[in-house]
Amino acid sequence: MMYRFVAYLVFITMLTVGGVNAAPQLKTEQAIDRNIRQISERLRCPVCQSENLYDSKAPLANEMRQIIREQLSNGRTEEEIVSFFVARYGTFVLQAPPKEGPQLLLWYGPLFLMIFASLALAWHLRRDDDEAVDEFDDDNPPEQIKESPST
Amino acid sequence: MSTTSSGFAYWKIACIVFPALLIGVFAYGLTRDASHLPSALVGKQAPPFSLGELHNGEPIKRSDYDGKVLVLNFWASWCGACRTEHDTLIKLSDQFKDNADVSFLGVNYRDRSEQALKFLSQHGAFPYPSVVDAKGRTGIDFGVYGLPETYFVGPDGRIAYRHIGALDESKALKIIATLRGRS
Repeated sequence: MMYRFVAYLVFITMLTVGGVNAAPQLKTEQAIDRNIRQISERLRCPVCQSENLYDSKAPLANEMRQIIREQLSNGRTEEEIVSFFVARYGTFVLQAPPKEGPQLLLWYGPLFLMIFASLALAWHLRRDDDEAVDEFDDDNPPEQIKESPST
Repeated sequence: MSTTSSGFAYWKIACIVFPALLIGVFAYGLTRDASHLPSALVGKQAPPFSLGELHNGEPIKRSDYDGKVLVLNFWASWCGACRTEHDTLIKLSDQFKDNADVSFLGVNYRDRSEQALKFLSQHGAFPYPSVVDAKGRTGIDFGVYGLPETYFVGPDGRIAYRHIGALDESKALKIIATLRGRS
């Protein structure tokens, strides 16, 4: 009876200790998986059309995700890992081009185009109104105005 | 509101000129070759590597080519365009077989060695070694997008030019001549 009790106690202790030791490791793995997703969503799959690294099933993308995992395990930060890929593939590898240099045109060009197009439209409509007013001849009013009863 | 001498407001000119300029820039972008991708490594030191040779597994290092012009060609048996440029590479490297200052090295990228060897026996062996980059890690270090890709490394170890797609002999000869002039 005593033997059984001790064996049970040892078993429970092992389970608890094992669980306690495994928990932080599992937590770290989950954190790394979350970070891999976060980083690979910021990067473009170099061999795919408009697909990020996270969604891509290309073997190259898989290898790049493996590199991210290794670098995270080695304690490198998100920015360091992104810089690692930018140093090799250039800013092309970024899902969102940086807001600097010629890329500014990509970010703000369409907005400026819309503003100027709106201004041009407003200018065009105003010019049409002005022309309509200029065409109105006070001495020869249109028939509708001539025939309208005086008040 | 400020106007030009003809009474035309400056903002009206901007309304015409700016969108035209922007559309012009985007239209120019559409005319450019989409396969011409910028390389972040041109002008920078070629990444170091140490990979096993395809036939015998002997390690070959990037530093083995220090002081020489190195033509580094990424290829694979599964790559269609690699077949197109295969004869060009053989012919090109043959022209420099007696020149100690120019070397060629193949990088068998993300391929199976047995498939690569079969490819070489079918299409003719390169007169220069090829190293195995099975996982593509060296390819990633060079920023390889798709095959074939050829990097021209100067005697100073810097990448001078990167060619995407099947290699053109006359173009390659010009680049090699320029790089040899630097040594």
